[in-house]
Amino acid sequence: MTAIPELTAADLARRIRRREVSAAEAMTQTLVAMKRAHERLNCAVRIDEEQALAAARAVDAALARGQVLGPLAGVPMAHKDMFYREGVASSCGSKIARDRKAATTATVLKRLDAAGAIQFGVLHMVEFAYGPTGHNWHLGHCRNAWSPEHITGGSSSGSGTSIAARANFAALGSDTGGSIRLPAHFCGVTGLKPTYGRVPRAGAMPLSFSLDTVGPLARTAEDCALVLQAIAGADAADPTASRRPVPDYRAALARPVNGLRIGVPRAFFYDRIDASIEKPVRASQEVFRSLGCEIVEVPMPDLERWNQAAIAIITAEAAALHAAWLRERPQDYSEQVRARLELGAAVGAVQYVNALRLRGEALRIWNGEVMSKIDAVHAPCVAFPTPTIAETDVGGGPKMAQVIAQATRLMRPANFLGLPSLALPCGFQPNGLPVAFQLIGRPFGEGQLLRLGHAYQMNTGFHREGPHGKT
Amino acid sequence: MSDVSKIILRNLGIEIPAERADAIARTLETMLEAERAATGRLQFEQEPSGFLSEIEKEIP
Repeated sequence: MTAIPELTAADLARRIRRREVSAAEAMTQTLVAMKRAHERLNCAVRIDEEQALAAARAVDAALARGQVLGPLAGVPMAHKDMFYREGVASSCGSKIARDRKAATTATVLKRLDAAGAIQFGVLHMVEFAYGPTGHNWHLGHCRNAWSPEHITGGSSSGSGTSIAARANFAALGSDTGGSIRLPAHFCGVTGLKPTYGRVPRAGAMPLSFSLDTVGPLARTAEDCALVLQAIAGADAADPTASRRPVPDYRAALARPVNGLRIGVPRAFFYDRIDASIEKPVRASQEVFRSLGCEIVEVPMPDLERWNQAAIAIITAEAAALHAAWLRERPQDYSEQVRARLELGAAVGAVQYVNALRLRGEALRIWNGEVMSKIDAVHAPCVAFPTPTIAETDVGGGPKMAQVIAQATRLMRPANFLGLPSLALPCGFQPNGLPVAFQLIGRPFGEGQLLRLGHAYQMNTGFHREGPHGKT
Repeated sequence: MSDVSKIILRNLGIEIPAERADAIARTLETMLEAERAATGRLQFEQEPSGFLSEIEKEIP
C-alpha cells in the first residue's frame, strides 16, 4: 500500500472519506514529513501541530457518525504565509508584518475550511511576495527539495518545495509575476495561476491589486482542480472577484482532449532558451499530439514591451501600498525588496495610468490574433537552467534587475493579460532538477487547462517523480 | 535620477540611498522607454471596454 505522504490530495480525500485511512494518521504522518523537510529546506514558518491533530480527530469522529463532509475533508494543507486568519499574525515573509494580527480570515481559507481541508501551518515565502527566486534575508533562504543548493523559485517558495518533498498535499500561493508557476517549475510540482478575478483576494496580502491572483500548487492537475473548485467564485468581501459561475472543474477532467488546438509561439518564449529546458518542453508538445491535439504555430505580439508595462504597474502599485512603511521603516526591508519598492515610487503617474490603459487593448490584440485560432498556448516557464541560491543571491545590487527580469520574463505576459496559466512538470535537466511547461488559456478557461493538464499527466509520469524517486 | 524623480520621491518622503540611486535610475529608464513605446499608440478616447470588460468577453 502507498505510504500516506506519497498520495495525491484527491486519493487521500477519497481514502479518508471511505475510512480506509484516518485523518489523524494522515495528519500525524504529514507533520513528521513536514518537520523533517523543514530541517533540510527551511520551508515552514509555523507548524500548528496540536490544533491540526485535534481538527483531524474531529473529522474522523464526524465520519464515524456518518456525517457527510466536504470534498477535502481531512486533507492536510499548509499555505504561503500571506493568507490572513483572524487573530493570527501572518508574517508575509517580512520583519515588518510578522506581529500584525489579522482582523478577518481570508475568503480562500474560509472556503478551504468549509471544504474540510485542515491547515497545519504556514510556509516560507519571499518578503511581501516580491521576488522570483525564493531568497528571504529575514527568514533565511528556502531550499529546493531536489537539491538544497538550488533555488526553489518564488515567491511561493515554501509551497513549491514542501509539496515536492511530499510534506504537504496542496498549498495556496499567489501569482503577480510568476509566483505560483516559478516554484512549480523549479520544484517539479503542478501550479495554477487562475484568471484575474476568478479567486477572491479578500484577506490575502496585496502586492499589486491589478495583477494579484491566488491559486493552488499541488502534485497534480486533478488536485489543483479540487482546490480551485473550493476557492473560486464571487465574494461579497471582494468586489474584484468575478460573478461568472464556477464550472465543475473535476467533471471537465474526464472529457477527451483530442481535437483541441494547442498553439506553439513562433517568437519570444523560445528566444535564447537553454537546450536543457527546450528539449523536455518540446517533448511535451509531442505528448499532446499523440493525444489527438493539433499543434499549430502562432504569432506573438510584442510581449517584451507588454512586460515592461506590467513591471510599471507592479512596481507603482507595490510602492503605493508600501509608501508609509518605506517612509517610516525603510531599514526593516531587505535591500532587494526595498530597492524594488523605491523604483516603483519613481514611476510617474502618466506612465502608470497608460500601462493600465494598455491592458484592455493588449488583451483585445491577444484574443484576436492568438486565442481566436487555438485553445491554449504551450510555452516554457523559464529559459535557463536552475541556478544555485548563491549564484542568484544578488540582494539589491546592480545584478538585481537582470536576475529578476530573466526569471520573470516568460511569466509576465499571463499576468499582464490576466490569463489563466497552468505549470506542469515535464522532465529533468541533466543535473536532475525538474523542468515544467505552462499552458496559457482563454480568460476563465481554467477548466480546459486542467483537462489538458490531467490528460498529459495520465499519459506521463513526471508528476509522480519525487526527489526520493517515483511515487 | 532626474530632478523630477527626486521631487516626486521627496514629496513621498522616501529617501533613496545615494549608492542605489544610479542603478534605480538606469532600470527606470529602460522600463519606461519600453513602456512608452508600448503605450504610444493608445488613442484619445473613452474606454468603455477596458481590461475588466475585455476579460469577461467570450472569444468568438
